Amino acid sequence: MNQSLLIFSLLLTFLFVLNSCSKTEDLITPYHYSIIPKVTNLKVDSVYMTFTERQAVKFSWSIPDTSGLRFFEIYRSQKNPDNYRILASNYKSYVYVDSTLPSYTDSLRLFYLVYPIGTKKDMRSGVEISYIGPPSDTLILYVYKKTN
Amino acid sequence: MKKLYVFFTFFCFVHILSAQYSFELDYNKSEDNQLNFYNLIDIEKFDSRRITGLVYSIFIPGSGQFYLGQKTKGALFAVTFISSLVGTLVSHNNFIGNRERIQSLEFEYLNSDRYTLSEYYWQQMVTVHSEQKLHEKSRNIFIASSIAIWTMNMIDYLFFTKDKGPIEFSSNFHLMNRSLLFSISVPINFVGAK
Repeated sequence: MNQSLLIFSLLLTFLFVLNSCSKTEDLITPYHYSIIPKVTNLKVDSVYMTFTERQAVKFSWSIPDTSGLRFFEIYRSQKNPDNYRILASNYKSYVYVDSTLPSYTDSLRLFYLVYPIGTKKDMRSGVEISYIGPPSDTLILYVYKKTN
Repeated sequence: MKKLYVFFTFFCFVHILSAQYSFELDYNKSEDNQLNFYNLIDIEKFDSRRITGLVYSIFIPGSGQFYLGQKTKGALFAVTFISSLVGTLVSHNNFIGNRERIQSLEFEYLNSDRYTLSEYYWQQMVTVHSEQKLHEKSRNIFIASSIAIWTMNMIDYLFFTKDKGPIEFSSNFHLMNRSLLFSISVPINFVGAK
């Protein structure tokens, strides 16, 4: 009996040690998914010639929730999707016309991205700061020169 | 982890039952049939050597057995215990490192000003968190094995280790072997030198 008590007390002591070891804490709840929603339905509406004989691309998009949204930023890359340059900032419409297409000989490949810009509360100061939302899906467009 | 607890408890139960059984056999065989605590752990034989060995064994498993002359058993206990202790320390160190990395990533995540950065930090946090869970699991396994080895060491020391007697600094056997090898002996008569 004493033997059993001796061994059990040892066992219980060590199980206590094992239990009192620090455990993995849960991660915080991710909040970045809910600050600003992603831009959806990014699509080309038309490609046409302007009055000044320049080609223009008209595209549009939508966003499911506009709360916290301030404006959009539109980016374009040509040939490859790795050199995006800003086309418009502080843009508040859902339609954009790109009439500044670069010159090309036969065809041109263009990539467009739209970023929604909103606000979030800074964790340290509590002040509302600008937050760049998730990028839209890339819109890829091939533009060809008209041949008569 | 629960499985480990169950296994460990079961293992100890088996040991306790077997120890009880062996005690009962010894008790029935004993002449005086006196049931007391001294019979249980054979404390009559607890001379100063056994107590010293017990203290050694409490702090470094296997050292008590080694002290009593059971060198192989002692070395086995010591090596397995130290290696599982090293495993525990390494796993715990990784666990703490992961926790600190998560804290710094959390800070970056909360202060990022764009979705792509937030997403990047979030994915990093998820990866490090899963690593931390793995390290926690391995640390607990190593702790449990260290505890098991320590307990087995104590049980072995208390119930199954016999004292082989003190190891003499230079035994006759040792000297005899030497003399066989070299066949040189110089008799020195200290009395004659006076």
